[in-house]
Amino acid sequence: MKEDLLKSLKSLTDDLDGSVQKVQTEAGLSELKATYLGKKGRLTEVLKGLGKLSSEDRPAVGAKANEIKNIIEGRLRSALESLQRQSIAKELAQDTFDISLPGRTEVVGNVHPISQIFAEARHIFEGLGFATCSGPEIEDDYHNFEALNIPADHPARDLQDTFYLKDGRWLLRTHTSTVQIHIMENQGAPVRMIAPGAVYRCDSDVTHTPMFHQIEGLWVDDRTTFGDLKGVLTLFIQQMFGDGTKVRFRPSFFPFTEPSAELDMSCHICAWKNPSCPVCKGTGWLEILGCGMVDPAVFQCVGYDPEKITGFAFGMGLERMAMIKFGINDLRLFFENDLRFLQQF
Amino acid sequence: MLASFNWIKDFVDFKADAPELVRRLAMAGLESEILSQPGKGIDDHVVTAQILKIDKHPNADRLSLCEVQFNDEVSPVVCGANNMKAGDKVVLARPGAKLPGGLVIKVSKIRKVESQGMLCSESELGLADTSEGILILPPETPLGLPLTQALDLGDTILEIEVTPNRGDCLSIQGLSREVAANFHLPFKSNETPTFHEATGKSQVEVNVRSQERCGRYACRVLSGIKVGPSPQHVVRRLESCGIRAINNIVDATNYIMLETGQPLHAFDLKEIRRGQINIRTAESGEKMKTLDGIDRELNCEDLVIADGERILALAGVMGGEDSGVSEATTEILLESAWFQAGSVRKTARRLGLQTESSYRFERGVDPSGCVAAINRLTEVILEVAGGKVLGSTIDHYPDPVRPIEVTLRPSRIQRILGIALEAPEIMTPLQALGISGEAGKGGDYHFQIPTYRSDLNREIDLIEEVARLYGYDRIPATYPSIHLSELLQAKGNSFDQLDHIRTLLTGWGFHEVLHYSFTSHELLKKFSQEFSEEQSLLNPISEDQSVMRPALFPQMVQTLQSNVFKGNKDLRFFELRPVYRFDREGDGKRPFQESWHLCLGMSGARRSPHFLEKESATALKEFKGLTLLDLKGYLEALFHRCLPGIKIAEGPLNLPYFHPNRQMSLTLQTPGTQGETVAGGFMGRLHPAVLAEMDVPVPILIGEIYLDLFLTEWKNSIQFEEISPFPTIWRDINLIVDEKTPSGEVLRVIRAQGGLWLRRAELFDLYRGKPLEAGKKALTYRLEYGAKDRTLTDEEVNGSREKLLEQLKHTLGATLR
Ligand SMILES: [Zn+2]
Repeated sequence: MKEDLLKSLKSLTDDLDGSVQKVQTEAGLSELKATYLGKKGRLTEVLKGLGKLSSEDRPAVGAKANEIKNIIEGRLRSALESLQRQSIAKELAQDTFDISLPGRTEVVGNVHPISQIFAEARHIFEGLGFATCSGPEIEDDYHNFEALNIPADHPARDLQDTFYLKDGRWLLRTHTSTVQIHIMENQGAPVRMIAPGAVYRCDSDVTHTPMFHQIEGLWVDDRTTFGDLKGVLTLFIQQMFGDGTKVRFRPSFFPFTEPSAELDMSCHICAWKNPSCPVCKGTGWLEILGCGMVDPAVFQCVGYDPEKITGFAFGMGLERMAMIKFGINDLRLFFENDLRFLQQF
Repeated sequence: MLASFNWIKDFVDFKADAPELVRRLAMAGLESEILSQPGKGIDDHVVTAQILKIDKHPNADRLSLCEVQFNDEVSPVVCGANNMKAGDKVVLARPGAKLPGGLVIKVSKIRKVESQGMLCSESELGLADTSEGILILPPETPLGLPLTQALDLGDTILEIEVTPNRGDCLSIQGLSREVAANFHLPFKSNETPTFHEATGKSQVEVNVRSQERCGRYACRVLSGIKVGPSPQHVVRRLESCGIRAINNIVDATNYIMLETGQPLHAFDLKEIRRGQINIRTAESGEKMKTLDGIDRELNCEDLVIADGERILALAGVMGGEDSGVSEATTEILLESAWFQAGSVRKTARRLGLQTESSYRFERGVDPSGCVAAINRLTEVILEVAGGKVLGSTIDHYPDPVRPIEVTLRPSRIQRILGIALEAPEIMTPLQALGISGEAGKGGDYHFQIPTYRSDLNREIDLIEEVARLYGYDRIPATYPSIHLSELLQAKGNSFDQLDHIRTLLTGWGFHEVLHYSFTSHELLKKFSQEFSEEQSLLNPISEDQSVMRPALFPQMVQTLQSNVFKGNKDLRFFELRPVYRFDREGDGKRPFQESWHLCLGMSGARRSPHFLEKESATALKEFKGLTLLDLKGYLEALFHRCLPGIKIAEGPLNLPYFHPNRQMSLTLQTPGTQGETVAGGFMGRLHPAVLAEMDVPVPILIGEIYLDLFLTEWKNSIQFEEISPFPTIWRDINLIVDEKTPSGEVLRVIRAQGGLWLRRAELFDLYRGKPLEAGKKALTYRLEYGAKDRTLTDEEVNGSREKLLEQLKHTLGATLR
């Protein structure tokens, strides 16, 4: 009796192996599972004979039946997995995808190139220990001219044709140097600041717009020299335009600095190789900023003692830097706000 | 100023070519560029010649056949010009010559007649941009000379940018002095003139009434002079330096002015009435006609040269037409004077009359040089126009300018430049510029500043001069050290906040634009912008740029319009700039307020759809049709990101340029106050009529935000709230309310009455139409409930929801759908 049961159990797995191989669908496997393990399945059928066994035989046969059940389940599961793998493989084999189709994204806008140049310059200068400040654009004559050592009727005023407001007393600042005065009027040395902003000159043609942007810089304490000016501004230019950029300092004149200098940087377009380079006109140099040691007359105006305090100041045009950096050839584009321009930055 | 390379070489014998000179001058602080090289490209086959005979061309009416001689031979030349006559000296390009334009001259047959060369015009020679007829040379020109030699061509003209402090470099001599010092070469000054000085009574009496403004007045009479054209090389030099040749007398005054920097003038002596030269101020309303033929009305600020009856010249600016030298003039009064810079500048500026003379006086002329200049002028005039000196020369110079002394401390050089210089490094270059000095006791230097260097009068001026001559490139770059305690890095300045706003907006697809700070009255009126007349410019370039803007959006509308016209689509722009307000109530010192605004402008599709979305009509629909809610959404998000914790409320608005039902104001609750509010901005969709007027076929949305609060309250109120580990429960409520009830009001009641456990409430759906009755709308809100300390039960949430529904019914008449 016991032997018969064990034989029947064993034949279950033998039969299953034959059936599983013939089944090709998941439904067929479910059917097969019902046939073997269902309530009225073959395993149940075999186990009906269990009650007729002696109590000492029953545990061994029961254990065997459980083992057979696990085997059947395992075989059916692996058959199912194998079928699923086949069907995925079949599906994938039919799928195609064109990886060159355009990606889908949100539209992203751009920061104006002038703001970008300023942000970049600001990060460099702040890293060097400068604080960023601002001052008013509508100014009085004192802050724009007199305190900067540009007295009335001085020919230096010709360089900066000034817009005046209706009553003639107020003007639009012609340079950001005004901020130097505001800051030094309000605090003692040391002062290390940059000040960006719009400036205005009564001039409008291909190379001039009546409004443009500058960054002013001021570095004042009890020990700064012209050598420091050269060091700091060279660092700035090389961080802004690349390590390999060469600079030269050339004597110049600004009423509020002495000694005064123009800083030229090497032309990155031609690198001295094109005598008819349209950017540098073949000189290999691009004028990039004006600078100098703060004139003692300016220190006197703000109540600093020029015997004790020295420092340098500089000013640069953001449009000019953007034109050099991005290769923009027309100043007026900055203010025309054509989407086709703005999208490029 | 324009300067001749060869002329400078007359004073310094340097070897460098023009590009090298340009480089050297740049490193000495004189920026320059090569403007032109007249005569460049003219070879030696272009020679001076004479026309012996002119016949008509046998086969062409318009052409002439000339017999031209330049050596022993006579050549036939066919010529198309008609400004020449037999006997004229002309320029012949012989066969084999190559002209600057590239033309090569060959023996040729023109209408069957042989022509052995070409008679040249100035434009063909590259000497002028345009010219009429061929160039006729002066009768005294020798024959057969290469033209470059005859006309002293082969020069290079430099345009030199002289900074306002260097008036001394506005002359060939002054530039030469710089060049000499730069090349370490001697500077050759003019030899002492050798004309016969006369004695006897002066022909005129000079009265200087304004000593301060006319520090020196020298004058001399020449008689028996013959007015005529100047020698060709003088004409060339003047014209290449930008001065038109007039006659030998006027040309000489200009020539010597260019050479010495001293402005000079010649009066026709017989026009000087009563023998008087009075240097005085004009009377208010007094009139004169200047050399340029313009009648000028003067005021009592203008310094003039007058005779006993009338004004002869504007001192230092321009002569008068009546007293100028003419063909008939035989006796002249030469003037060499020093006028105060400010005085000349005032008159020149007021009359809008900048001349070579006023330009130099404004930048400082050396009073010590007046007599040397008039002597040199006399010499030149006697040479080119004949005549002699008549009567003794007057030199009114009661208070001669003396060289000043400036002390220079070596310690100060080191302090400013950062380098220690030895005595020779300081003294030698200065001496080369005529600045002599000596070391005093204590090691300081004492320098005598020559009167032509009026820009040097302080120690710092000399330090700059020392640095300039030493060479900026030789001063080593150093790196300053900062003590951490001095570091004034302004943490979180407003620029960080503005950049943060830029980052957010560009992430949402907005491009930053930039407009001028001034705009037109017309545009501001169109958008009903009020502003004070004080905000207008006194001297605008154009009406378009005439008033400081009180708001950003009018120009934004223009920019959207112009982009639409250019075919640009789906526009999202922002501008982040100050606006300007005149405020009389201010503290009196600065009546103008400048405050930062943010303007957003949108037009076109909400987002240009991806091709995948085009496959499904419903998906596409979702992305179409930009509404005011899009703009509102961005602004709300911006406020939420930047000013968390500050409540915003929308309010009704009635601006005529916006769509009547698509506009709103935004109000912000002022932090730290009990419900006080402040205006936050406004937004709207442009009125269809305004769009139609502007010819714009797509809707435009505009928002303008006042940023003051952004800059002061930036993320001040962020407070972290602990995240509850317990799950939340969602409930929808579907309400029917009156069409007139704002959904925001419903939301406000929900938030106020939703109970302790209500964590979030948002509008989920809005429905109008059947089966709702007219005038009603259905609003679905999705509510999230949760507690911090436990999981809520369904009963608790339902109870809370019931209470809320009751409140909604009570306060808003809302019924459950
Ligand atoms: Zn270049």
